[in-house]
Amino acid sequence: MPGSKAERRDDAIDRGEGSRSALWLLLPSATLYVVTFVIPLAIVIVFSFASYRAGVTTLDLSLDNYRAIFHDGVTFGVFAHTIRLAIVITAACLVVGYPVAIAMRRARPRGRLVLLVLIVSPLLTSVIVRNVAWLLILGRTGLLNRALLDLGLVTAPLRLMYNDLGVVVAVVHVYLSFMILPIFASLSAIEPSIEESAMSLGAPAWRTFLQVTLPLSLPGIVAGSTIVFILAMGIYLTPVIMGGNFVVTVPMVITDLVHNQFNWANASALAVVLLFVIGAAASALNALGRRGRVPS
Amino acid sequence: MDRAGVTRRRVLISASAATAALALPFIKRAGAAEDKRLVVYNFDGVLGQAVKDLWIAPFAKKNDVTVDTITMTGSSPPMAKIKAEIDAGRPDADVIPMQLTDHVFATRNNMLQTIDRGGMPEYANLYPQFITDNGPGLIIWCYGLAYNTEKIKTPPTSWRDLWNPAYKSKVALNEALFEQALQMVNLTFTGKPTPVDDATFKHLGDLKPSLLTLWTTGAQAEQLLRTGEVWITPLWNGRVFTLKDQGVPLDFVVPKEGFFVRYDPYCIPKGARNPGLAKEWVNFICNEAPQRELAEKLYYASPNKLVRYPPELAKRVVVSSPEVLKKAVTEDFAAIVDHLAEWRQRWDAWKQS
Repeated sequence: MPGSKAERRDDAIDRGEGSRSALWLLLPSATLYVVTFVIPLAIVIVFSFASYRAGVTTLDLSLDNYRAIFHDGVTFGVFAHTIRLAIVITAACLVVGYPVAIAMRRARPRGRLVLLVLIVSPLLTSVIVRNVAWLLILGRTGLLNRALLDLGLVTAPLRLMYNDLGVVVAVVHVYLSFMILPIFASLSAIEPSIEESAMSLGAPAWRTFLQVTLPLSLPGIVAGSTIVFILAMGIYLTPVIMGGNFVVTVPMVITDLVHNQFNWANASALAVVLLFVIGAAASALNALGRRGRVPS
Repeated sequence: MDRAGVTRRRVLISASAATAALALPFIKRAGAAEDKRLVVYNFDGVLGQAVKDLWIAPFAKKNDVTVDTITMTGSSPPMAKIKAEIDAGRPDADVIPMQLTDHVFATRNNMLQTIDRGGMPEYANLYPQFITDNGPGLIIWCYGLAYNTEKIKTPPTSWRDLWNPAYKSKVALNEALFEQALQMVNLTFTGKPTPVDDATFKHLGDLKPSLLTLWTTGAQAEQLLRTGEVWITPLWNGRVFTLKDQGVPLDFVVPKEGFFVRYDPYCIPKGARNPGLAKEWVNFICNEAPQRELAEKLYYASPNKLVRYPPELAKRVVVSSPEVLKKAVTEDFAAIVDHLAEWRQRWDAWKQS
């Protein structure tokens, strides 16, 4: 029946009139978001302008904390190192993860399930247990060094940890899944017939991969890289254990400022800059992904 | 129509009244229990368990009170959280053991109650240097050298042994107490813990090739020593002797230049819900029996003069008499807190050099 109540409501939704009532549905999550994220973030931002003297923080607002980050001669270096480390970790995840995602796409359902469980399993163990396991493998008297020595490949144990290498290995191990799963998702979305057409038109396998598969999986690469990069910028416990504290990251400096120096003003400024760097990197990657989608 | 007088409002009112009537005795009981309930911050691991067994359980039983604990991670209370709670007038605990740098921070931020010495009978038996305005310094531990007795046949005698080229890549330092490491370097080369300057970092630079790692927790140090990856590291006495008892080939020495002594003042925060009971408990744990029992179990020395140690135990607790205590390095914690930021930056720069 034309003009029925239901039809009028559908019309209203089509015209976007229902959106106002839909806003109410967002209220619980929005409240939670404001209370647990927006307000604390605002407090951190205010504190980032506060001043700290001899253990006491006062709300005399200034830009000194931000100036200190760039001029104290140490913190900026820690920032640069953290970014470099995050880039290396992201690249390593991509190089190791992409072939695994392809293998998952080609595997039969059961094989795919086995791979999936293997990829996700590091996330199910605690960070301490995972790192201690790596200590046993990469330590001076660890499995790997002992095997290399027994085989006569090296004469003295290699320094495989308590440096950047140890941190990268342990972090890649756990963040690999965040790279593989988005790439696998975008690979699965590629219509096999597109690749088949390329092949049937005479493109060799490598060319099909480079010109068809790889560009089409770019959204997955961008999503995976963004997640891994953001997570890698926040690593704290792994550099403490695997880097033997010689590898210093921004989160380690923030933790020390809060926990040992009681300097929440400087810690807040550092957190705000870290957030800004992560936001900038995420937007840059996003822009890259969008450009990749435009057919050339 | 009013169906036999039953309306929704009446049902709700009667239900609320019934609930209130049922709850009343419990509310009253909870109120009573509040005066008999103490909340204290406690350590994790074996020390936390020993404090529960030796200091908390006997007091709770004797006075018929409940003592609840909040476990700290890394032996240090969450100062940021505690400060926010005290500022809001509601600290979550009545007693908080603090590291000495935490204590400086807490006093500067006006977070703690001053404990009247006259109100603490057991203070009469404590060595005065362990009594602070905010509480007694308990759980005394000593920082000396731990070494692997199988790998190092001649026991080290000096902090300088860390620089021995024979121990290349077999040495570790404690990152969590980096300020102590800096003072140790100075003590080794100048005989005084401060000032931390360019010379300090030059000597640290010389030590770098010997360093395998910088550990953060006692558990990590334990693992490094157990596996033999590290042969020699500064460590506290209790941890070494507990491992030795388990058969790990380790020993502890007090270097000739002196050793570091630290302890935890047990403090009562401003706004604590039960300050009276808190003082009673703090006074109780200063007694000879709980103090001696902790020393016997985990080799933490006591500030109580009445605690007597048999010879073997005296060696293990290190600070067994005022004479031994004289060899300890005098640390100025207010100055340490003032320099912490500068020292930390130079330390981080040294690590990355």
